[in-house]
Amino acid sequence: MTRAILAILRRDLAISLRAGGGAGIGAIFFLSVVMVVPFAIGPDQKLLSQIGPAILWVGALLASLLGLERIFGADAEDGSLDLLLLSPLPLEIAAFSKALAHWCATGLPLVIVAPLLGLLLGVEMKGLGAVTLMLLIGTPAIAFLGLIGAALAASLPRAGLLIAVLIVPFTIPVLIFGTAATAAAITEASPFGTAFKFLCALLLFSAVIGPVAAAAALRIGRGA
Amino acid sequence: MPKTPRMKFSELANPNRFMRMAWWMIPLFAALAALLLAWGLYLGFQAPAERDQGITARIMFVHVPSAWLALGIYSAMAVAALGTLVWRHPLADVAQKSSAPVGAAFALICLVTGAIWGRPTWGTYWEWDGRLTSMLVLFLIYLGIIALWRAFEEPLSAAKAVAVLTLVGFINIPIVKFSVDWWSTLHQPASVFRLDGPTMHASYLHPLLISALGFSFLAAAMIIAAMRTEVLRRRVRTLNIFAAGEAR
Amino acid sequence: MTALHSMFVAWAYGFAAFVLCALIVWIALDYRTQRKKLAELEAHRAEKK
Repeated sequence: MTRAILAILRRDLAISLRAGGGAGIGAIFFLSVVMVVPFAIGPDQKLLSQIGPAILWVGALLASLLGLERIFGADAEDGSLDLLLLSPLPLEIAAFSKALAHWCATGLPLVIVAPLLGLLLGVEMKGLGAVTLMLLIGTPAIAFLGLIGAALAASLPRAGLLIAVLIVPFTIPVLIFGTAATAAAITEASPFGTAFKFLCALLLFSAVIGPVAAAAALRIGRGA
Repeated sequence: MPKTPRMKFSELANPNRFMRMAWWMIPLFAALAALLLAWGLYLGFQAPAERDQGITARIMFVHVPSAWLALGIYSAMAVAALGTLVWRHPLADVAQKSSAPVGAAFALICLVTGAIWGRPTWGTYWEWDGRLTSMLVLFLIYLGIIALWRAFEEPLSAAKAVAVLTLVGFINIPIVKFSVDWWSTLHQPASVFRLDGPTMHASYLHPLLISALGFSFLAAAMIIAAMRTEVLRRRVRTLNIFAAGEAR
Repeated sequence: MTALHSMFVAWAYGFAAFVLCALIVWIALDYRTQRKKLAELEAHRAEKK
């Protein structure tokens, strides 16, 4: 089973890293969102550094929603999704590995560039560490939740915007506890542990419910 | 053999039988709704002005039932989603599809009347309060469900996809509610305003319950009417497919 | 004060009535359209036979 999971991971990563795979686009979009904010609210360095972590969170959320349709869209087109459905590997495990591969290709770059973008916004060192760590936990949770939307719309053409609309309400808890834990780590005004533990719990919860619901949606969508 | 409830349930599933029942249920429920709403609102407007909020407390008789219905209709939709996926009940997805716009309408009414009520009592139209925010999220989920229904060409595959989304939403709503409450108490420790049902004076409680019952009958009448249309729409679709096949 | 407050009450009830009426009208119009389509299709089929 481990070999099958590794095979899916390697294949999906190879596909997204080659030309036209779109692995780096999310990070570039993230940069664009963060760059637009100072133009919208003015070059007030103090204000920017204050709301910087929040901007990074919103940008990362939007960038994570961007590529979701790629998880199953291409596979549904070329028929490899049907092979996954027929394979002895449980579909839940396959969906889990596909989400993991998607996160490695699109989510991890966001986490890596987040501290650099934080510097642009003038976030202090402590804040940079906090927001990066929280994004490292929060973005996979968003990817697992997004997996459900991707599976629901797998058979639909031009599903990108629909998936984003479906998934945003479900990502609100991640955003709430992610920003709260970040703020707690920076200001130390409120207990850091509570929000951080809730964020971790959300990651575990979405890592279970996302693949299960996505597998159900895929089976149903393919008439199995 | 005694008639089991299961048999009765499957009789209900027959679209023709449903259409005959809808024929008398819609006018009956609509009439009940009109009577109860008129009675409840009459009693409500007779009630003495509330000590702190004055007569604006009367917005309660439309605001609170809408909130209950928005939540109740979503729960009913989750049961209907189970009906689609587990029991494969042929009317379950018709009910689910027809309920979504009605539930969304009540969520919207709840939000807007809440905002209008907030202006004189809190001094602001919108407060990022736990209750308001979670109702806004519920409204967004309703809109997502309607959007997913409209995205599919074929009703059966749409029904199954929407059923999965509805059930995931049903699991997620308590989590969203909890996190939003946690978040808003972090921001503003004292809740500005609360309605404690049992402690409410009878002159408010009675009209509230009566109008809630009236709104429920109105929702039922609207949902059954929309279900009847949906059954017709599917017949039209099947006949069109037949006609296209014959023309070939 | 009271006059202003009754304005708010009127707005709230007016909005609720508007949304519900719009929904009822939409459901009724939709029903009529589908009935008409169905009648047309059935007439078409009867004509062919």
